Amino acid sequence: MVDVDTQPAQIYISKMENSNKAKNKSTIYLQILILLSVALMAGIGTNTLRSDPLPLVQDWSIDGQLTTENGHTMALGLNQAIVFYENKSALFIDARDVLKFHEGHIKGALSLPWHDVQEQFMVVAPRIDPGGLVVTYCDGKTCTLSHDLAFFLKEMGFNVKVMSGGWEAWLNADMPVESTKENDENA
Amino acid sequence: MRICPWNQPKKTMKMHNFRENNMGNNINTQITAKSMQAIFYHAARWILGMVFIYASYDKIIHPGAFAVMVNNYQLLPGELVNLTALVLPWLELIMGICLITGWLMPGTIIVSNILLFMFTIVIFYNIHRGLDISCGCFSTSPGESPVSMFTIARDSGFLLLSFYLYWFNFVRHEGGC
Repeated sequence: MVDVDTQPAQIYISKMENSNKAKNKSTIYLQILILLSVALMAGIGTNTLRSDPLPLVQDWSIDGQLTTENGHTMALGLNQAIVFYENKSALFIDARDVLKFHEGHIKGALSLPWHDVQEQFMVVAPRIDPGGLVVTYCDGKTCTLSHDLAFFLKEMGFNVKVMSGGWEAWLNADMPVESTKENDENA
Repeated sequence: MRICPWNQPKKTMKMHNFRENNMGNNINTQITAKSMQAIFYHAARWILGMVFIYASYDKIIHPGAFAVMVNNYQLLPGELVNLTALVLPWLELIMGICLITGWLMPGTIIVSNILLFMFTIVIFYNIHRGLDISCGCFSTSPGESPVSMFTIARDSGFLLLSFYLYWFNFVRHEGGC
């Protein structure tokens, strides 16, 4: 048997392992880059081919969201909402879930939870005056259920505004509120 | 060189197991443990792949509705909302295809772990701060139920599967791949 000095071989193996590790790492980075690039190109590419492409940058501020195509805004400040409420010239609709509605809502408001809108709309619709003003609201400024509901009701042909301060602003203003039991919802 | 599932032909994998099992003392235990790990790995790959493809479908068709949902999370600056809504569903679709076919495997597993971890944290954060929003995970329909602890449990399940793939590929072999 020939006595072979194994040290150079060990160094070689360890070098190979290190280079394999580095190769694997760079392979992973490359694969992640490929994934992201293909997704980016596919997403933007297919969007440009659509008949109604989504703008790459859009105004997502509350005012921007509540402004319709003809420049008319659906946002309604608290003070204006109070005037409408006191004149009884608007119907208030609560877009939050039923439990929250039962816990407390604007006195006289109807419940039309956005998450059940398809089932509940037919129940609530007969009680909405087609010529009158509808004001939707939800938790507060950060909540968007009232926006979604407002656009839905607008599409259904109603005259809609969104009380952007929501339930929180109404409570802070010490305006009339009420709570109901589950069985007399929208009573 | 480390033996990693993505650079190892199926035949070699079987031979490797066969040899290992013959050399081992506890043959039956080794066969069962190794095979179970491999079976679970492929099952997890397929399940996650199908979940990602299913999740991407509706969002690719309705990017506008998905953009509203992304914005409802109120975490991204307005400038990034539409870009995310356009690219994320395609990323999910491509990841789903990669997971099922085995293409770009280590990279896909890393991205899948990062994405699922991010989704879970983001949903948990929004529940914690009391936002009543739709998940937008599988559907862009307005009737989808709001995020809840069930959504977190479901996403954590997917995250566990994804983490298993990570473990199988990177941790299982001593020193990693």
